Amino acid sequence: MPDAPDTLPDLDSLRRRIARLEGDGGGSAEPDQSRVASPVPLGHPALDDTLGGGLRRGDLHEIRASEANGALAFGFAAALAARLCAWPGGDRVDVDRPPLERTAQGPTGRHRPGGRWTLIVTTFDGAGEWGRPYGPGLAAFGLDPGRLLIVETRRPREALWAAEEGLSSRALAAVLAEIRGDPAVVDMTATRRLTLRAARSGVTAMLVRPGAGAGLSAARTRWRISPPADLGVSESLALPQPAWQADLERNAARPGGCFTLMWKPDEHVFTPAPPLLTSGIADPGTGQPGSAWSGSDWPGSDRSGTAVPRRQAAAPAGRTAEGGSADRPAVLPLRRAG
Amino acid sequence: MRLAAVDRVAAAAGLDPGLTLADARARRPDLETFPADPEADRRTLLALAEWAGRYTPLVSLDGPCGLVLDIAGCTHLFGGETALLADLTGRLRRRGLTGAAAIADTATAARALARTTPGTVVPPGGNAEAVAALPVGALEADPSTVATLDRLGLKRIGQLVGLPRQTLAARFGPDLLTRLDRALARADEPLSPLRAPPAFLVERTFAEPIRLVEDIERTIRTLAGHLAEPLTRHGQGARRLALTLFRLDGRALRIEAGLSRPARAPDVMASLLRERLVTFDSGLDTGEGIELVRLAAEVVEAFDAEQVAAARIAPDRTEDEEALARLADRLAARLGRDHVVRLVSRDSHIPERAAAAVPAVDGLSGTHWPQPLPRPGRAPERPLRLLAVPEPIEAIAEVPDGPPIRFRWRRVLRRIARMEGPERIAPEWWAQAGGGLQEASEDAATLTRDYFRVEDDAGRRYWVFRAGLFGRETARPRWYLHGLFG
Repeated sequence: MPDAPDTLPDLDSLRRRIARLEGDGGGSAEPDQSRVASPVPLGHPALDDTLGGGLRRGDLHEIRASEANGALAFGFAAALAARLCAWPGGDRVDVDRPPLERTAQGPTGRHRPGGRWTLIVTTFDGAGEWGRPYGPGLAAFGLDPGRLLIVETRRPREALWAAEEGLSSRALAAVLAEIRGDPAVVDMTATRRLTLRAARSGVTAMLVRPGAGAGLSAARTRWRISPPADLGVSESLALPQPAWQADLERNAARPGGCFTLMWKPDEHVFTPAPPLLTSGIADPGTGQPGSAWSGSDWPGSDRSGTAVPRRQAAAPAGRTAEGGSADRPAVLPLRRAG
Repeated sequence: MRLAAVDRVAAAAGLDPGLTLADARARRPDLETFPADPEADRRTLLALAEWAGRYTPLVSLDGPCGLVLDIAGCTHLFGGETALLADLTGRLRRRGLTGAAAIADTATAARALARTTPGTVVPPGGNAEAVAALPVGALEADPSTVATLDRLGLKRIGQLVGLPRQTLAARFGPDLLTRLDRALARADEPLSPLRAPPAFLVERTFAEPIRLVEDIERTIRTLAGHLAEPLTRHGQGARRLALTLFRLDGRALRIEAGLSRPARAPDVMASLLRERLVTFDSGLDTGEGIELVRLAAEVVEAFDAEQVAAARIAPDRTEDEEALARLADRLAARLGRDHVVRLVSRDSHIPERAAAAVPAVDGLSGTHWPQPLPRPGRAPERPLRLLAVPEPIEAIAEVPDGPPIRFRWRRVLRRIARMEGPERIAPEWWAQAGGGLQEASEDAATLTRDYFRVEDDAGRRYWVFRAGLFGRETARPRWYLHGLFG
C-alpha cells in the first residue's frame, strides 16, 4: 500500500509506463533509463568495463557450462548473487521508489539485517548430480544461508515456473535457477518471459544451465564457465580462493570477452585471478597462503590487460603443460610453479 | 480360510463371519466369495469419514467398520437429529452402501443401538431407557465376560444397572463398568477425531451441483471473503487452510494449503487455494458435480498485534516480509511443502547434520547462521553442494593414512593437483542414528572421517573423506565423495 500515496499518477510515471509497454512489446527497445538501477560493479575492472559498469540488475543472466562443470557454474552464479546482496542497495532496484538503505552501508557491506532473500531453484535431477545447496558451504562462499529460499522441482517446466514466480516478487534480491541439460521448455519464449518479469520487478535472474547446448536465449548476458585455465599442477597443496574461466559469449549490444575471475567470499568481490595461483610460499602445514596473492593487489598484476579477444571455441583450451601462454598471452603471464 | 464378512443375504442364510470357507461352501454351494482386503476397507472407511465431515468436523473411526460423528451443535443445520439421520442413511443408500446408524447421548450407546436397532434417535437424556432392553453383548465387552453374564442370567443391559458397582468391578474388572457408564451416559467418552476441529469454518451448499473449475474458483473467492470476517473479529490469521469439495457421489476432495505467516486477506487465501487446484495433473475430477464447498481455517495464529504494528513502524520491511511469505506459500502450494525449504543451522560438527532444510511454510523468520563465515584469502572450507548420500570412490593414497593422490568417481579417474587436509571429524557417539551414511555403508557412520578438499588437474574441487582410522578402526579404510565446491 505505501506504494501509492498519490491517487493521480504524475506525467513522469505515465511516460515511464508507456516506455515500459513499448519496451515489453518491441523487444529491442531499451527500457527507460530512469527506472533502471545502476549496474553492480563486480570488482574486476576490465570485466566491469565490458559489461558497461557491472552486472545489470532486473535482468536475466544465463550461465552455461558443460555437465562436468555444473558445480562451477552454480558457484559462479552464487558468487554473483552474493555480490548483489552485499552491494549497498544491490538487492533492491529503484523501480518505483528510492532504496532506503543506500546511505547506511559501506562500499562492501556485509549481510545487512534487512537484506533481501535469494531464491534458489534446482531440480531433483540436478540435486542428484551435484548435490543440494549446503548451508555451511554457502556461508563460507559469502551468501547468507539464512536468507535463502530453496526450491527443488521435479521437472524443468516447474523450475521455470518457480523462477518466474520468484521474479514476480519484489521481496527477492535475486533468483538463481539451475536447469540441467537442454530441455525443450527452456527456449526463447521462456527466457524472454523471465527477462520481462525481471525487468518489471527489478529482481536479478541467474539461469544456470549445465549441459546446455548453443540454443537461443533472451538473456542479457550469457556466460560459459569452466575451471580457471593455466593453474598447472602444484607442489604446494594449498587451495586458492574460488576462480573461474568466464567467457562472456553474449553481452547485449556490446562485445564479449574472456576473463579469469577469482571470488573473494570474505570481501564479496571478484578480482582478476592472480598470475600465480600456485603459490610456492604457502605453508602446507596450515594451508595458509602466502602474501603473494592474498590481497587484491598482488604483484605483477596487469588489470587493464585482463580482457582478451573473444575466443571462438567455447571449451577451455590450454590445460596443458605449456599453460595457456600461447592461447591468451595478455591474460595470465603464468608459469607452472616449481 | 474363514469368512471375514457377510452380506445380508448370506447372513439370512445362516452364515456368520468366522466360519471356515469349507463349511460355508458345504452349506451354500452357490456362495460367492472375494478375498478380504482390510487395507482397501480402511481406505474406503477413511474416504467415508472425509465425506461424513459434511455433517460435523468431528469424525472419528470406530473399529474397522464404523464411524462416530460428534454432532453436538450441528443438527440444526440439517433440520434436527431425525432429519440428519435420514439424510445420512439416505445418502449412504444412494451410494450403494448399507449402513446402520443411530443417535444417542454417547458413542457407546449410539454404537450399541446402531448394531441392534438402527435408525433409533434417542432424545437427550434418554440413554438409560433406550439401552436397557439391549442385550449385554451390545456393550462389546470381553466375550468371556459376556458369556459369564449370560450364564448368570444377566442378559439385558437394564439388568446390570441395579447391581452393586463394587461387585461388578470385582467380578468382571473395571472395563465392563466403564462401558456400562458410557452406555448410560453416566461417564464421558473421549473421542479422537481424525482431524482437529478447525478454528473457523465457512461453507456453501449448492442446490444445483457445480462442475466447472471457474465456478469452484469463484466459490473459493466468496468463501475466503466470509472466512476473513471471523478471523478479523477474533484478531486471528490463518496458518493452514483446508478446502473440502463434497461431490454428489459421496466423495470428498480435500485441499490443504499452509501459510508461512498468518494471513486473512481474502485475495491471499483464495489465490493460494487456486494454486493448489492447478496441481491436479489431469484436471480436477468433479464427478457428477459438487454440492457443498467448505473452507476451514484449521490452524490460526494471532494476527493483529504483531503484524499491524510492524507495518506501521517499518512499512517497507513489512511489505518485503509479507511478499516473501506469500511467494513461499505459493511455491509450496504448487510444488509441495517439503520442496520449498529454508536452511537452518544445527549444532553438530557432522557435515550432513550441521544444516537442515525445514519447510518454508513453517515460518521464515528466526534463522541465524553463526559468524564469522568466509575465511579471508582462503578457499571455503565447506562445499557449496552436498550429496544426499556420500558416494563411494576408489581412491589411491601413498600410505594408508595419507592424503589421496587420485580417485575414481562416477567412472572417471581424477588426478589430484591440489589438496588441503586432513580435517578430522570424529563420530558423535551420542547420536549414532540417522545421517545419510548408513545407506552408503553400515560401518562408516561410526568411524572417524578424515576430510580432504581436493582439486583435480582439470580444476574442479571435491570434498572427499576417508572413513576409519587406519590400523585403529579399520584395516582397509574406504573413501567417499561428499560434496562439490563451486
